[in-house]
Amino acid sequence: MSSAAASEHAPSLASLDGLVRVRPLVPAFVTAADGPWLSALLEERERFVGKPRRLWRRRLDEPWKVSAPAVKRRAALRVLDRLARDRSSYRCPPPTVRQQLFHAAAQSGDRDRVLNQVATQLGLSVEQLLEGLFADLPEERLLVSTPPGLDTLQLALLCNEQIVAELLQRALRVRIEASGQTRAVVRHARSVGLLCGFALDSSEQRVVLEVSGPYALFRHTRLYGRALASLVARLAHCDAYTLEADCVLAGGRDVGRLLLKSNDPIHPARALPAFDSRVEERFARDFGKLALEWDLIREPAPVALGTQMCFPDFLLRHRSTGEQFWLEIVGFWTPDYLRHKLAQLKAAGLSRLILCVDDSRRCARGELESLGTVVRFHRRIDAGAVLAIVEGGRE
Amino acid sequence: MYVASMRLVFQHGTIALEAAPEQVGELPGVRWDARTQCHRAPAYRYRELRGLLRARGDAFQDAVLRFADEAGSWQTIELRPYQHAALCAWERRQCGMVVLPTGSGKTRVACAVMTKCVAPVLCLVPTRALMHQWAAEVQKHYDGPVGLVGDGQHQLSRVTIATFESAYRQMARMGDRFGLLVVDEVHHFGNGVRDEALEMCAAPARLALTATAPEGAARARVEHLMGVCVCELRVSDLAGTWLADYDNIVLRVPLSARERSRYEQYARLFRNALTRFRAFHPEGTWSQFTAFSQRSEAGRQALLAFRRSRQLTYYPSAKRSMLAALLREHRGQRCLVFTADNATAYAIAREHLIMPITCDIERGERDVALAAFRAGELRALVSAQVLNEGFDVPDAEVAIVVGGVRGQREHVQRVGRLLRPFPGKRAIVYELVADGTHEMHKSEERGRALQPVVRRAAS
Repeated sequence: MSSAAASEHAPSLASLDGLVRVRPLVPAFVTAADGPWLSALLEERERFVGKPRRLWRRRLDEPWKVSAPAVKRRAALRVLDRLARDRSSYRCPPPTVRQQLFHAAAQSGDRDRVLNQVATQLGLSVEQLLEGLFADLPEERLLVSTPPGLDTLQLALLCNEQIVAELLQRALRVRIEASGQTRAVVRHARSVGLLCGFALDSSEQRVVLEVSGPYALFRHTRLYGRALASLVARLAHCDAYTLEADCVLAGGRDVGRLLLKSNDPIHPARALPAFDSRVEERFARDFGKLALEWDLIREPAPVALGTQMCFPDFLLRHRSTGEQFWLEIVGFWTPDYLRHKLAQLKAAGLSRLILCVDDSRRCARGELESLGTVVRFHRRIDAGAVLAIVEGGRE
Repeated sequence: MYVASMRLVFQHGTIALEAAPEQVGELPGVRWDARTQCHRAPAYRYRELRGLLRARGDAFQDAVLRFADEAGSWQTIELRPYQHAALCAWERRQCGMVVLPTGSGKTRVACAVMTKCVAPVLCLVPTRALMHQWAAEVQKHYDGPVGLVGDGQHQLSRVTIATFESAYRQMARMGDRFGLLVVDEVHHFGNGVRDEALEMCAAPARLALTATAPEGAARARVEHLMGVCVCELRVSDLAGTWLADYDNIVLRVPLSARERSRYEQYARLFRNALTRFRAFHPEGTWSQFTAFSQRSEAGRQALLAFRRSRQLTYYPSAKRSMLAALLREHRGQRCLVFTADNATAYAIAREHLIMPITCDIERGERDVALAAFRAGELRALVSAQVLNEGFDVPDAEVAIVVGGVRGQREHVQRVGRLLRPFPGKRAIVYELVADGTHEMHKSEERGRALQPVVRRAAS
């Protein structure tokens, strides 16, 4: 089937549900058994440090003493390229060399004379001139050593992260069951333009997320690949998770189901920022100083709101009585939205949720009457006002 | 007061039909989206959908397109007879593909179409350099601001030019802002890569431009997204009248004994691997063969041998000396040298001290070099792919094709670089072909690409 026809008949969310069998997709993780070839690769690469990249590329085409699985080696090379960027080395900026040399050559047909003349003008030898002519271009840049301390074990974990990311870039949809810190995953999925449906599982301990791109309804597109792959970094911060991804393989002819679990050997993601915004950070600091009897818990477990779910920013818990309030900082809002949200909370029996709304993010006109547990703020949430509500709620 | 109970809105590159499910019924391309509990269609189906709902007599509120208020004014654009014919053919359908050779004024036809369109226009072009070139061309005829999306810029205007890559990434957010979509070099689409840029745009009027229409399934896909071909002319239709005439000279050069022996060795290694694959997969495609070969060391060596056999023909010693002779002979004229890869372009640049124009050279430096070539300060340029299409390279008289990898389309684009006419001009295209290698077949293909086309317009 041609690629054009394949794109027309590529799997979509609609066709996926009709598939009788989806074959399991088991990632070829890099393990301790891969140590010998990883070690050989690092050693060999070190020999080419300071040499043009094209020589290293040519070396990669040649046979190796220790054979390596192609997929794993490709992942390792990508990781190494990401960790160590090539550098340029020249005595005179190459664009200047090119400009002078090629203009001079257009005036005279004698190659040697032109080379000598331009080399003298630039204070270089002819060899240096020719060496520096393209020294800034990607293939001529010099290979740089890998970061100090990178051993085969670390490299293996980074390779696994790369392998998983490459598989997830082919995903049509991702299903996640996770507990703890799931809010960061939901917020991230939405911020990168994915549709994210969520519910609590039967035990009400884990959140079930269904994530896919809007256009995936019609066909698989790699447009969402990077966004889907970026979920893994957020998942690393959950207490436990399982991830199922339906990945489109073989140019759209096949679908495989990737299964990942929290104990898979994937490199831990980079640390997430402690707070999503300065407003949150300031409020946590102010409230912590003011309300000594209250514990402030960031990103508590989500709360079911009928068929919907709510992801509060903070849980405020009284240390001795165990009483608790949730607090959510609302982004852009309208009075109608707030009324609807509060009605939902009331219907779900959740009166102890405090909504903090930023006056500068109001998106529609209309009066906002006193809505009880709504705290309005401008740049900084008044921790005292929040304390008054929770202390009042206790009484 | 009458209130429509169905509403069409643009969402993330799709058209959401906000209505009771039973009210939507059967419509082509429309699917139920359980995630958001509404019906949806790809944005490119908007025009068709709107027409069908009207034909069905359904009342609906159309909230798909959101146009900016500001507008400039267009000057009248004078067209050559064949350009005028293309414009008339397009106007009848308000969509479709126009195939005209390089240098025949496709951009001018596009500008003429834009003058006829009252809605905002989005033009997609393959590269950043072309984006700036198009903006400059549009600005000659239009006095309003021209928006740019790409090369680090994101300004939407009544006329906006975007690179394919940026359009691919941004169309889900901006696909509702335009009434006319113009796609230059549309042959880059249709194979599934970045087609989303066309699919996620709701613009009802569409114009596709190219010098070399895609073939087979890719053509069908492009015609599905942009409309059928409404006008098609080839180089041979316009050469000698609206385009400069030219001579195509094929020069066969032998491989040296050492090169021949290595070529045969590589070719044998590759043939053996292919024969083994064919025994198990008689109908197997090239991509299946490469996937199969990647799994074993012997397979990888066979693929490497294939690449090396090709590389050997890119710039063997005989091409080297022939090129030197041709550059000497045409020293007084402006020459473009085309190679199969960047490595050969750099080798030629070092040997003959010719400025290379490749993807690695930054845009500023390329622009300076092209300006110098235009002004006659540089006598020759060497390039692998970058000069193949789009660049406005006026008045080159000689092209030397040292090598190519992309067949007919690439050759038509390259020849087109020479055909901007001026009085008394007769261009020369030299093709250097390694005798007794795969290049012989490639050369025959290139020759066929320049033959006149039988079909000229849509029925």
